[in-house]
Amino acid sequence: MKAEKTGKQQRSLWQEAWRRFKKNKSAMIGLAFFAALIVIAIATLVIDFATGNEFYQNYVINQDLTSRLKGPSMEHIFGQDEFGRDMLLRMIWAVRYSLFMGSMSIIISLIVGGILGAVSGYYGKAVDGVIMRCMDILLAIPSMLLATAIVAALGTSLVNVLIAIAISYVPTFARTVRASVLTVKDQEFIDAARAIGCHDGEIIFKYIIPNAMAPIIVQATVGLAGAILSIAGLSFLGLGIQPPTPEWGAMLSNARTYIRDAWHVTVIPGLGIMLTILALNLMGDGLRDALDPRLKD
Amino acid sequence: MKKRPTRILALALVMLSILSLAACGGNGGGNAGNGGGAASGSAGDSGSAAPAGYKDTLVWAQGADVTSLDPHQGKETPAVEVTCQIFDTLLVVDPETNELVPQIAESWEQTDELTYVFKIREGIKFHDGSDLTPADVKFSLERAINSAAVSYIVDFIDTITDNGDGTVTIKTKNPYAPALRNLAIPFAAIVPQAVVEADEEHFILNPVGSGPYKFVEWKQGDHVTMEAFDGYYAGKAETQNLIMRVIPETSQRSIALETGEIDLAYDLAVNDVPKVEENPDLTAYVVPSLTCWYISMNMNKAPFDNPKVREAIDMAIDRQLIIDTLNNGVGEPADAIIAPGVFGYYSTGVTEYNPERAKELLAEAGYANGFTTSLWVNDNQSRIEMCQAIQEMLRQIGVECSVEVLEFGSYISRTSAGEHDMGYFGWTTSSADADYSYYSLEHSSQQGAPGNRSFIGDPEVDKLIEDARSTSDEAARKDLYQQLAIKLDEIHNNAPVFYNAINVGASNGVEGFVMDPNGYHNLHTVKVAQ
Repeated sequence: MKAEKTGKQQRSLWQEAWRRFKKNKSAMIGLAFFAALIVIAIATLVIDFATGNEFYQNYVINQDLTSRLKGPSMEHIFGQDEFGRDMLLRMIWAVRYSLFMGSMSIIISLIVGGILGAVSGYYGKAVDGVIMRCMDILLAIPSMLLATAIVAALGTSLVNVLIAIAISYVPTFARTVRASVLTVKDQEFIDAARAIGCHDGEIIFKYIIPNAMAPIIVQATVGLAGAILSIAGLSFLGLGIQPPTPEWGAMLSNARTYIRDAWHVTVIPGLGIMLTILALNLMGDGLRDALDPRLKD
Repeated sequence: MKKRPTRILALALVMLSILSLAACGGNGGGNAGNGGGAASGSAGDSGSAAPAGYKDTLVWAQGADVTSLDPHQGKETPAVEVTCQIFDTLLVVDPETNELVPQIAESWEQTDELTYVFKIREGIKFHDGSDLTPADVKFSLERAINSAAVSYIVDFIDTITDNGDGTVTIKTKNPYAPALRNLAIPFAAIVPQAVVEADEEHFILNPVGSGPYKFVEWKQGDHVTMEAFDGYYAGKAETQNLIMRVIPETSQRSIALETGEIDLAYDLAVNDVPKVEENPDLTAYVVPSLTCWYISMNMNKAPFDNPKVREAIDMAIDRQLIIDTLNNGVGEPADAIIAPGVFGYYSTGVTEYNPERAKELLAEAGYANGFTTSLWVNDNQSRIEMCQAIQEMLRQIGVECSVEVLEFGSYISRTSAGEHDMGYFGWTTSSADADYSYYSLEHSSQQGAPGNRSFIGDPEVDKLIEDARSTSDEAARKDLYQQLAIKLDEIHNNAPVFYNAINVGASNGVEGFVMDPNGYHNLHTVKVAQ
């Protein structure tokens, strides 16, 4: 029964999935949190654009050394950091770097890994062998280590961090896509497409990929969580975003000297990272359940 | 449906990874406490084995690893902190009285303006059992002269002669007033000629000296182990074993001190010093240092070739604010690259903090809208913080300055090559004589690696430095250094920021510890009660 449904109309599959996703409370909380972050990120961009960076200059990176490390108060709800800057504003302004860089690197690795995986899954044999062994080599190196090595080699800059994280996530996407391509490619509708004279590119992108989307989406959501954590990690090590640009990992790293003097400077960015990753993981969990036709309740 | 456990696991993992981020920062090492003691005390040793009630091992922690164990290469403080236990010099400066006292040289005399005769103490042995001879002294000083890293402290020497009667004659090129003090700097160390000539590579990794401790092991990035030398001329060291542990994170160092893992913690973070002072089991030693922290502006690069720009930068720094806040009130605003405790210091008055005037100066120089530049610093948390505060102060006068953080090695080599716009440096006047710093940092012949990283090349400055170093009349030297200080204050090639204090945290069991204002704490008289 379910096979007929998936085959026939795509839209109802997504509707079905959404219906199931909505029922999952924790996944919805994750989604809400994530949506809020996106709104915040866009809002900061708009404010910066509207004020010509003046707000950023005057409130986000402006120091007030005399009131450094002051705890939360009415004026500064999250307190002030080691340079007396407002923690709340810095937390808010940092959102966009994490989100933007995280999603950019996932998109890049999704495209590169997706193409590699699709090609190797579709053609099989030698092509598959060569591509997947290369991916295995990359996979053998822990992703954080790989990213650190790449940044160390290329030099510290936003773009390099992005590339480093993208490269370290390519193999996982290649594997996921290849696996789903393998399950789809021997089905009748692919033979039918070939019979009506579609060429390989058309078959892969028009017929195979759309039907292999579900695991890719789940992988991308979970991957985004990992990428944000990697960015924070690289910034923590001083390889990511440079001061005074606010970034959660860098904030955590700079504040760690004061961990025994002022709790809020480390706890707040730490919580920010934790909640974001948690939200994305909950969302990914929910998506997986919702998109898996076998788990229909 | 096994949803719940996965989710809890995910949460736990996320928390763990964040915790591990925060806790990152090397707590390597492990058992530092009383290992190594088993191998101590050679049979038939006459006297000073660890007395009852005292530990046989002293552990200290410092923030950076040794750069080189070769005393003629590793002149950086983290290296000297270790090598000064292994090597001795002809004479030393007593850290308490600031007087020169004999060490390898039993006595010395200056026979004329250019000639010094040192009587080498008899019976001094190197750690390999061989005798320290006048030939070793000659060899060592010549080796130092030929080493690019430390040459500047000994290149006043013209010839060294082994007189064959247990004395060594040193002739200088010109009259050179700070000669004796320079010879007391740890990197004028005396090394065994035979050992170095046999296999120099081996010597660099396994140093042999004549100091109170002999080298046992160096595990890079982690620790150095040393053992008391039975045949030390001044009597065997109080504590049998020394272990230097590298703990880069300042807060980790003070925690290690609090938990008793280490006995001494060098260079505590300023915000940790009050915690150590309040702790009834610990003591904090704090003394003014001979170190100045300053910003060097690369005069080879625009816009720092313009004196008005340099003055504007100098004026934009609120030194007192930095000291009061980031430095917890420790230190003094600086007005010269040498500290007030150095011979030849002359106060030109701290540059006034005046952002308005700085902006005017920039406008006069043709940078009414500011400019973009960079400030380089090595990867040390408190230094990076200083630079971030300065970055913000420069932003207030319209200068967009990025803070570039580099690993120490590449920081030194790339700033030596003059790649930086501005650099944040600390310089210690190890000999407590102005020549040591002015010659290295301001003389045109010392551009790049030797120390002159503002790339100043001013004939008038050169002349004053040369005149002052070749006069032995103290009053005349003071007068020359005063002129020099005024001249440099006009050039603004370096913007002195502050003179810091140097600190060491110690457990109360530590006895006999004396602070060295250069940070080269000699530990052979130190013992630790259990």
